[in-house]
Amino acid sequence: MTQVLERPLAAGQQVHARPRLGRQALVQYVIAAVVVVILGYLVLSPLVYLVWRGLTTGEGLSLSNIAAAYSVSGTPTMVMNSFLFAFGSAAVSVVSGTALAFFCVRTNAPMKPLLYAASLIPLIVPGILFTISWVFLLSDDIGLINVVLRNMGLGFLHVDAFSMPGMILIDGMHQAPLVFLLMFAAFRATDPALEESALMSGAGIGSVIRKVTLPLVRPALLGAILISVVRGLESFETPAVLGIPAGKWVFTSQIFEALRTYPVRYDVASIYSITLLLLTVLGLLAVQKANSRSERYQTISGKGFRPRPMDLGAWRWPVSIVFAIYFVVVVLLPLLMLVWMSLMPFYQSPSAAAAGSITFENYERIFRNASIVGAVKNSAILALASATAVVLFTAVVSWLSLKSKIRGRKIFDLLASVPLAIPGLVLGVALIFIYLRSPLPIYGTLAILFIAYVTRYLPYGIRYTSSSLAQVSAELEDSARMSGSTWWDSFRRVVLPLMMPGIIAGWVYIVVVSIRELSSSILLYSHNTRVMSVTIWELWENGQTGELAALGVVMVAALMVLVAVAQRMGARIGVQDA
Amino acid sequence: MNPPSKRRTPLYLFASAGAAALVLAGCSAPAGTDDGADPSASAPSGDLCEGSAAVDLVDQVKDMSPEERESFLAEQAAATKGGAIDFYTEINDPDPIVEAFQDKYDGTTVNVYRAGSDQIRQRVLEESAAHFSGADLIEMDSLEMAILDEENLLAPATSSHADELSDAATAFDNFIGDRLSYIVPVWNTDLLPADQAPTSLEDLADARFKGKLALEGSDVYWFAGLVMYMEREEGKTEEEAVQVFKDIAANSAVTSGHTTTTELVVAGQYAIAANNYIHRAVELAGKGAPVGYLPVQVPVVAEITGVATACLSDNPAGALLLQDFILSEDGQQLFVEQDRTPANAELAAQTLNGQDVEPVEVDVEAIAHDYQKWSDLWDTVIREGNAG
Repeated sequence: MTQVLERPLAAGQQVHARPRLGRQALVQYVIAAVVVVILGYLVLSPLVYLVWRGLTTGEGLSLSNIAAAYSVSGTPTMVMNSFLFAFGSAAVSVVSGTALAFFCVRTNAPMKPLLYAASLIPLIVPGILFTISWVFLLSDDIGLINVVLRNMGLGFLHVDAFSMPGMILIDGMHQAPLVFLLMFAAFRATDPALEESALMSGAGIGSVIRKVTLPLVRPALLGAILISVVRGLESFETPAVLGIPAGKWVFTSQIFEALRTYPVRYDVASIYSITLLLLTVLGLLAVQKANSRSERYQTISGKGFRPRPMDLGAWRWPVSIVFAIYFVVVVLLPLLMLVWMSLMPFYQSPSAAAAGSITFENYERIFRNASIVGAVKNSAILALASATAVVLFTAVVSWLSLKSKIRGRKIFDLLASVPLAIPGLVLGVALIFIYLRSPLPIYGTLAILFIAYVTRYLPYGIRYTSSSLAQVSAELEDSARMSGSTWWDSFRRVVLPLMMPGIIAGWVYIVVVSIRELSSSILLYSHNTRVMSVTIWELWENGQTGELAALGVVMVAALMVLVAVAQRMGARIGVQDA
Repeated sequence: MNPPSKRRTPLYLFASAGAAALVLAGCSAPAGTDDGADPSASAPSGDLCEGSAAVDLVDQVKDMSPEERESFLAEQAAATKGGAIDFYTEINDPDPIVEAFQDKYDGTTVNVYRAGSDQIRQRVLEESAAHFSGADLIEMDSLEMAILDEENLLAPATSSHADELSDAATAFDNFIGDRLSYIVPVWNTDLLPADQAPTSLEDLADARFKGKLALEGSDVYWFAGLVMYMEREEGKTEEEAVQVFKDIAANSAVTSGHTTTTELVVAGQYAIAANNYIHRAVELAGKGAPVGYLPVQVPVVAEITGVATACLSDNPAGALLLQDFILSEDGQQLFVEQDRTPANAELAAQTLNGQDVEPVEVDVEAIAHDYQKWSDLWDTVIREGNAG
């Protein structure tokens, strides 16, 4: 109950500041310098490249060109659609992801392991496949759910996939795992004693959640909102497949067009990217400001606690039913649709007649496809390596940004977030440009893909690690130091283990999204470094949608194994359950 | 919480480290390029073809008999770069061709980079700007190929099989068409009986298609080809021809991507798509899907996919040998087996169930030259016309 202290560090700080000041400070500067060089190199090189190409292409970044870029016909509507879509989809994913994570971690809801696994399924399904299977469920004309609703006389409940609400719902559900993982880690590191005392003092569950639970996880929650909104602003796939047929154009289609056309309009692309970057920075500054009283969220301190689940009491079953419905609608139905697609030679609406043409040919073909085997291996190496590198590196960056005494330390967080605003295609071109001219023999190897993935997923890594670290009080680290440990020892043996829930969650997220990464990969891979996302793209381009669905099903199965392993690992390290 | 002033970190730490980062990034100062070319240009400066081994080789073999040419190239190909041939292609499934080629020519290995045409174009331009020999043989959409050609990156095209190919395939100087993709209206036969099929391009704007028609939104080439055709053959002004498309767009939902569009037609979301590939329809109909495209009553645009030897190739003999194989009857037959239409005139006729589909003439190079204009025009068509 004493975790929310106004100034818990004052004493510790003075104590540790005296004896080892000189060396401590030096170590911090050296680490900071190394981190800034690596970060700057990874993040600024593509940005500088983009701006430089922007300055030297077309009319450059003159004011008149900026004005021209924003005066394309229909711009105000497009900007409005973009914001509506981004905030709407972020709202769906933040609300559903947070609620799922809360019930998964903090309550005694039944079937929690199932809930955890199910929450991640939308993450692994290739985006285009996810969207198409939702069209088959939610389209006005052929959507299974809508047909069933109409037959039951509940037609008024229907949502058309090809509409703004449809886009928001479908994209939000696809992104929910990002938020779920982030919040899952945050809830695991919260001391339930605070909630218990509130409950004992007579507060209802609703007000406990509002006044105690959510404020304690504010760094993670704000981080989730920020990253979901920015990602929504730059996402293209869902708006293209669902929005364009409905006449709902979003702004990203402009960037997409600018990069696709010839000569490539780098000027236009960089103008849009810089805008996105400014928005990201503003959002991040707002988040940093809101989180500035860091001691408020530090629930992991010298005082031990075990995150015991909250007893839902009479609410246990009603809540479980709500989540069962969520599970059926959001996870099971699209997954069944995917399985159905994978068993069909071509898509037919599910019916008894269509069941006659069920075949396993799609599965046979993908297992016979030799190029898939190589791609799986490369993707596995890359995903594991880049996820590990990102979380470990951003753990250090987060520490510098939140716990070091360096002036201007907030800039670390900003720098690591820059790649959010750089389109994947631009990153690919920039890396080709750099490594074709660099003495390092990286072009055409897995290393160039590794650099691309690490760069692209830094912003995600930093959100996961920093929201996790924000909950760790400096007391523990300070005591380690006072007992004579070096910075590295206390970081490795105290800080990292305490951040483990966030690190594991971020790692799982990055492993999965690196397997899906296409826009840089397609430019950077070569014949012996093919990756899964390229294979997925190929199957789709070739119209082999049945095989792609089969591959999607296999990937879901593989994810389940990965999650089980990661969860087992995560359960042993970090804050232990009661 | 403010740190004591003596522990203040000098801001120059960031400044200097940031500068170091930029210097590192700047290590990209073109290594080994001697001409001080403006590296910011996406296109290489100077003529990469001048004095290139590929151009010399083309010149050397152009008068040889087919047999002499083949054995000379086969020997050279295997002896260069360990027999490796880098092949950048957008063929759906390049394996059958690659395997047949490797079986036929001992000591060669084909390394495939498969991507979409715009990605291949982007990569070749970047590699060429750095004078890096990436691709030996390039196979992609002729529109994108024409862009590479405008940048002088392709060696002159010669082949001993040129006579067997359709005229449209051999209309270029520095690349040769190897296969064709016909773009036609494709419909769901359960939802649209053949007697309701569109009878002309203008007919697609008819009220009977309202709410049932999909228009794929990336087909600039199809659009430009038909506008130029209407100007040339029907005496329309450009504005009138564009209006035809605006009327069609007003009748349709604009979709994104050919696969998505096909899926949605097969599933019954749309009854008909204005612009889709014949081969996709043939393939799906073969699996029993309810899709059709006959009778063809709308002018047909054929996207031509071409092959070209890169001037920067470091195994030009391998490139030419692979090109000749793709254009040979054996190679072309492999396209037929994948339901694709080869450039070989005789084989092409067999692929469309004996149907004689005569595509309209399209000036690829003219479209490539004005690509920006056509792309902007198409953009206004689908944005303003989109019925939603």
